[in-house]
Amino acid sequence: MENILEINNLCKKYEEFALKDVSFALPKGYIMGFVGENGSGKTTTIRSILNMAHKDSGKISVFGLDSEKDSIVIKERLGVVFDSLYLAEHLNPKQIERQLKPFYKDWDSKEFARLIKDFGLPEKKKVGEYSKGMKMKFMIAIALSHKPELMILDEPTSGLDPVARDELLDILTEYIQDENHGVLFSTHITADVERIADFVTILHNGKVWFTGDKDELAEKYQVIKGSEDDIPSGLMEKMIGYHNYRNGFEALIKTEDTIGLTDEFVCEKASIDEILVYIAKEDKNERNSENGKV
Amino acid sequence: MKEILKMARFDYDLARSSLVPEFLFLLMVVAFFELLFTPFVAAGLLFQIPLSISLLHSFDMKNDFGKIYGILPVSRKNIVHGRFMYLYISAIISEIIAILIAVLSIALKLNRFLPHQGVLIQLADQQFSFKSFSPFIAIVAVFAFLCVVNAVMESFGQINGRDNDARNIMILIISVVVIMFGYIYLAYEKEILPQLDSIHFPASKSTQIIICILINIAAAAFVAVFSHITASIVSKREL
Repeated sequence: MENILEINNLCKKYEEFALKDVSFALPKGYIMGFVGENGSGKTTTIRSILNMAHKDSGKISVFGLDSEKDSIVIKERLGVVFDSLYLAEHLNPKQIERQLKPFYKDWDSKEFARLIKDFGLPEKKKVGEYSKGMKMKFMIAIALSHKPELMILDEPTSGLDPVARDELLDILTEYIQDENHGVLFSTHITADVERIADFVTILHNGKVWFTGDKDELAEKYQVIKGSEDDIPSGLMEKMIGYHNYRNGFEALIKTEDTIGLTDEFVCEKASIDEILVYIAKEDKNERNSENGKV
Repeated sequence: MKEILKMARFDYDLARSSLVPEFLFLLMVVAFFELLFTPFVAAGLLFQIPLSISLLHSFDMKNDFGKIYGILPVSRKNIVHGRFMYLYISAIISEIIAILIAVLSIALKLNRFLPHQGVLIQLADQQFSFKSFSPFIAIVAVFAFLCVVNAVMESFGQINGRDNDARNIMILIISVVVIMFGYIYLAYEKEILPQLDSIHFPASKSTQIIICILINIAAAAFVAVFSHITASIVSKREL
């Protein structure tokens, strides 16, 4: 499979946060969900891809080109949508089109007009007066009008109502149909990833916790439930985000570690949401145990 | 160059809807002063400085333009050069309009419609007579001053952040006042520099044109240097 986006050992250090050896790849023709809790480094990674943040080390290739050296060529072929409107709020769609069109040689005015119409966006209204959902659709219309090969979306569904979210996901699914495009979208709404993504990258504390096929993730981890008294020796260390309740315990565990467990334990398929929660709990457990040691 | 022009156009498109009332106001100011005392007409152009800069600054702050600058297929340096280019072009347009109005008012001898009374009117009459001070050199000089102010303000704004605009304006005003009073002190008290009323511009049209062109070139060079300095500093920063 040809990779449309490839990140290898990306490192970026800020005062209170660092991306550590972030590596993942998105093959052409697929959608990748980029998930992680707030502050996990999703936006920093996206900003690094766009050369808005200057990486300390590592390599980022988009369409096989270097993200720093070939930044301008890459951006011609890239569609980007952020979580908030970054266009002039006092202008209407036509005025914004006039403003942005000269930058893209493949800008298609007919396509832009079609998308504005299809998305039901009022043409004469200032974009600043649009609803959140309309602003998001407008940014997508702008991004799609210059026929990008890769779409990068940072938290596009946050703050959208379920109907607008559903429409947005449909747009992305349609975009990917011809198998020559790619989509990387960051979100903390994991239901969106479950619905449309083929690949998932989970970022946690600036590190890649998992990257790969979404189905592989579903097969790899399970939620284990049971009584604390029944836990055999050695199993506790394998559990992620162990949490003890009044009636028993719950944790995330690798499917391979469940082999040979007795029927006293209940193992269920883990959703991405649950995986994120257990990763966060594991962090909390580690902090607590460190504090306990002190 | 293509990228710089695209960015200058980007800024023009951004400000265009607000430019019409600004421009009409500017035109009124220019025309008003033109009819009264020609050489000082260019002072009217100064109104354009706070208007055009604050307009773009407010757009920059209101709209999260750091993101669009990160998305557009343009280098960071050219984004900065584009902004300076836009400011320079808008200043040039103001200069051309002022000169055209001056040419028109002198050709039509508009001063004959002024009532011949009061000091200002006498002053206006003197200026229309071309005796001591060429109105065109005055216009070009103020244009050059405008370019310097624009370039300094934009540079400060981009390097130190728009939040410090008020401070930047204060620094600029204080600098101008210090230079002005310094000149007056050195020229009239110490008699080291030539006094303004003793300066006589050459009456020859060709010499005046050369002086105007040189002032324009100097202004363009100043803007280009500031654009370059700002772009070098800003391009190293993250968006």
